[in-house]
Amino acid sequence: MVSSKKESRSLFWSWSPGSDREAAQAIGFNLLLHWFPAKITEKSRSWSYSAWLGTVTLALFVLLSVTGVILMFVYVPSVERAYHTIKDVEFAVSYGWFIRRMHRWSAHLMVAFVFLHMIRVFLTGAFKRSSRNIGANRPLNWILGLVLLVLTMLLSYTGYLLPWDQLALWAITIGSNIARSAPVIGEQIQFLMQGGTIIGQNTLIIWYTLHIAVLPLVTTGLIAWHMWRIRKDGGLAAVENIPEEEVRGEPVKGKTYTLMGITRGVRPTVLYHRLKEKSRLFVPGTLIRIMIVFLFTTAIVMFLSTFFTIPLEEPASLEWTPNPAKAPWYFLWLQELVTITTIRFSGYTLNGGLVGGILIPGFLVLFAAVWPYLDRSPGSAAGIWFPRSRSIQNTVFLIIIIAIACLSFVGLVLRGPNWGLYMPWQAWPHHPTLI
Amino acid sequence: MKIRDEILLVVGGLLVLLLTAGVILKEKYTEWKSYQDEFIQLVSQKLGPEVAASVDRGLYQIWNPDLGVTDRCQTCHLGIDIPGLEGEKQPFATHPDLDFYKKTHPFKDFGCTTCHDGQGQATRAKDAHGEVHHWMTPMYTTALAKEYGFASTEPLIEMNCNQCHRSDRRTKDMPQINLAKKLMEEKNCTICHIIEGTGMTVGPELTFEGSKYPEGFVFDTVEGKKSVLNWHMEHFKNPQKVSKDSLMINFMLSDEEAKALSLLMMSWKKKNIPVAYLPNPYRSESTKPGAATASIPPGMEEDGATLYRVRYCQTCHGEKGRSTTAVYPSLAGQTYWYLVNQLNDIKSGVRKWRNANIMKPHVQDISEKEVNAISKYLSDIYKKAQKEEEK
Amino acid sequence: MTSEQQGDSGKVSRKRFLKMLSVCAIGSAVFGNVYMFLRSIKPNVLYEPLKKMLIGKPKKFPEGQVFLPKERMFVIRKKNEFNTVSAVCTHLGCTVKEVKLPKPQKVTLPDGTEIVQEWEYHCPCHGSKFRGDGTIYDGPAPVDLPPWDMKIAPDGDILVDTGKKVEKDFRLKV
Repeated sequence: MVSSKKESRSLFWSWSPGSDREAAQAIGFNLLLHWFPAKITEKSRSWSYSAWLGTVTLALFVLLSVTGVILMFVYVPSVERAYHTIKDVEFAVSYGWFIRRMHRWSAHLMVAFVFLHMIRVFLTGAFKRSSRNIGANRPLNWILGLVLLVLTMLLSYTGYLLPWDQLALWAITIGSNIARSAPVIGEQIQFLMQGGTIIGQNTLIIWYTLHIAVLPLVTTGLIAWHMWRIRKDGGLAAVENIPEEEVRGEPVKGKTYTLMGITRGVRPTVLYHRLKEKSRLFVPGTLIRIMIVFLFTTAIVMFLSTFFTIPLEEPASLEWTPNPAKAPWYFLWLQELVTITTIRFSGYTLNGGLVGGILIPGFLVLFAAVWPYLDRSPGSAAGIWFPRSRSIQNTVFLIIIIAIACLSFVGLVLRGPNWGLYMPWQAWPHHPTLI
Repeated sequence: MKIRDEILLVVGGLLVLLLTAGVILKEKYTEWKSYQDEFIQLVSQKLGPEVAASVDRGLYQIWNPDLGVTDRCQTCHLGIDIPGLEGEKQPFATHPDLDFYKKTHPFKDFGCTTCHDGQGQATRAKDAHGEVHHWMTPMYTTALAKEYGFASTEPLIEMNCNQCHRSDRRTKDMPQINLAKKLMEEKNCTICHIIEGTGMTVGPELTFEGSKYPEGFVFDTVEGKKSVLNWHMEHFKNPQKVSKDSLMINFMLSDEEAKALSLLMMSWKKKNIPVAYLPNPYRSESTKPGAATASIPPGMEEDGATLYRVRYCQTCHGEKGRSTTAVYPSLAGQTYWYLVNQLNDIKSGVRKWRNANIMKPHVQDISEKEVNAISKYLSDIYKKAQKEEEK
Repeated sequence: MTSEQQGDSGKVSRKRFLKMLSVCAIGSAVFGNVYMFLRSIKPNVLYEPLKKMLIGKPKKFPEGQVFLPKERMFVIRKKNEFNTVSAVCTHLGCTVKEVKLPKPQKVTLPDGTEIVQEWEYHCPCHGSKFRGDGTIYDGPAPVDLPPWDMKIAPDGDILVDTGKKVEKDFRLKV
């Protein structure tokens, strides 16, 4: 689209370039657009291949950052005042209730979508080493993604404590005691996590700083690296199995750039003109898709925030525990596991916290991290949904995911007071009140 | 393809725009704003446009960190301290006994939740009244009072009164708590319970019984409402039924007595009350009019020495009329007529100099007889002493 | 992309229309959100003492001058007449000190009026000096110490409105 005004052309020409040449130039001249490639294949940009889950996650991260900064103008991380400031946000700050809800819904959705994104990447084998692009390192990006998953959960977990209500305090108590059940170093870890032997003021200020400064900075850096790696890897894995035209000569050697500096090597960029599939300029078509994703993500978060409340329970008190006390939903599968994995044998007891809380999830994450190096399927299986050659690993993966989902469901819906099982139609025993 | 993306873009944009507009409107027409509009109309009709103009719009907050009060109730309850709206429907009615409360428990210091409970920080009715999950202290309503067989909310409010008035022996307008305290004196609760540092350990300590959480009680055999207040009520009526294997005596209390004692229990909360807010049962009565003469022993109404002491002359002018401080002159041995004239002149305002303004309040209501008696006493002091020496 | 720009004018204008519509929709949505976020930062409730202060019943104040440190003002009583002088130095906001004069002093103010003063106000921060009625006569302060409006509140307390200045000869008669 040619913009008619000359003034706006000079500032924003790169967003609506006037020609193919300008479209390609746009990438080089515009700081933000430099992030993106000049061209992209149809499959890579299709809605159905990736469902744009990574972009949704990024959009949620942006929403979280913006709403988070606004909340920082009111929130005070002191055990005496934190709860009070959240109540003020709910009742005395204009749009406060809405901004707080947006923040919490975005947080829950981001954990969900980072998980869904990981599932998509696995099922399409996008973590696999590239057989075509020398210099690509998709397993590295997979590991980066896993780190980002852990960071997302940490961000959510540190944020969970900040309202300093009963929900926060006891959810964090459970997690903290899971850490404690690690052998030998467990108590030390808990001491460092909590900034003391109890969850108190030290814990609050440490976790607040992690939540607003340290973790967001690290996450932003890693997101940038994660997306840069996509460029370095030659694009999404969707480009891996597109047949090439007759290649004349050797693969093109050239300079390649790493984060550390300039090194010599082989350029891993996919040469789009050799692929037997039409590719398009990134700008403006795919930019518009990014904006669509941002808009719909925002719309969904706003919808949820308008019509669905979020909890704020009684002020935090170490003197009584709510019944039941549940971890945040994304840890409920772990809470289920720790319930059923306390093993007693010949006088020894292995705390379920260790088995279900550390060993099992730890093993899963580590196994996921090394899987790209153990995977034996052919390179052409990358970038396709449910390829035959990967049907076993995909099935096993899905079984694990479904198991986690079931455990989460049980923890979320079926567990009631004293961790008893209550069917949805069974009423929980009446909770006593003061007056 | 391209057209589809453009449509999606528009739809996405419109969705966000719609939701944004919805939220902005929701905030603009928020609940309390409509109450304020209604109130200003009411006041304009009933009390005139001038009073209506003096009502400020916006969030109203009483903030007193000393008492932990952040109450926004007056945002909707605008008529609370405006006399003349007594019969109006809530939230516009004037506070009952407005003059009494303004004098003894001014709203700007005590807020509302100090006495009525509820969620002061909230600005929506249901939340502010505490009728929501996860708020442990809902506002006392007539409906809640009826659940416990009370005709009005006043007995419930007494639970809050006694948080500060705990050390009073008896307090005016607190009949339930007064009854409970009387029962306590009769039944000697400290035989089995430690209360405020004294007592035995047969039963649990009760000093801060009102701060115990519901989780600390067993409700299995409680018949009525599963609340801590009701637990106490049923427990006082029949300890063994509510608390298995209890060693507590069944005092055969009437319903009224059991309820009164339960209210007392719930009022014993762990609360840090600044000294400035503690009621002082021993507050000096000396500044009240007529206070001085009230303590004169019968028959001594005209005794100069007694009057000199009881009317506080002695405080400044010294024992037996001999002052220790230069600015307050010694009066011992002063001429009778001089003393009478000075007292009368200060009282009438004829004498304005030399600290007459300090003296004036003390002689406001002195009678002629008292003037004469005191002056005689002072003028005769040395004569008396001389007589005693001669003896 | 440029190849798709060809076609009849109807198709182009529909694209154009959609583009305009999306720009408007997204633009106003962004504007609305930015407004919400910025508005939320402006406080609706203040955790500060009120500007209109209740300072107690008249009988609480003796003849002469009383300094109220929390309210940052001097309350002066002459028989049944009250007035206040702000204790906040008009230069840069320090609290001025009362300086009692050894004996009442007659001074002529810049506008020609004569007053008898028993005390003055001196500011410790940069040396501003004010007469007993608040008139500046030395130092860097630009204007006089303002007197505040006073009235009797319904329950009998004196209400000082530190948001409203009055004339120096204002007196609250009790």
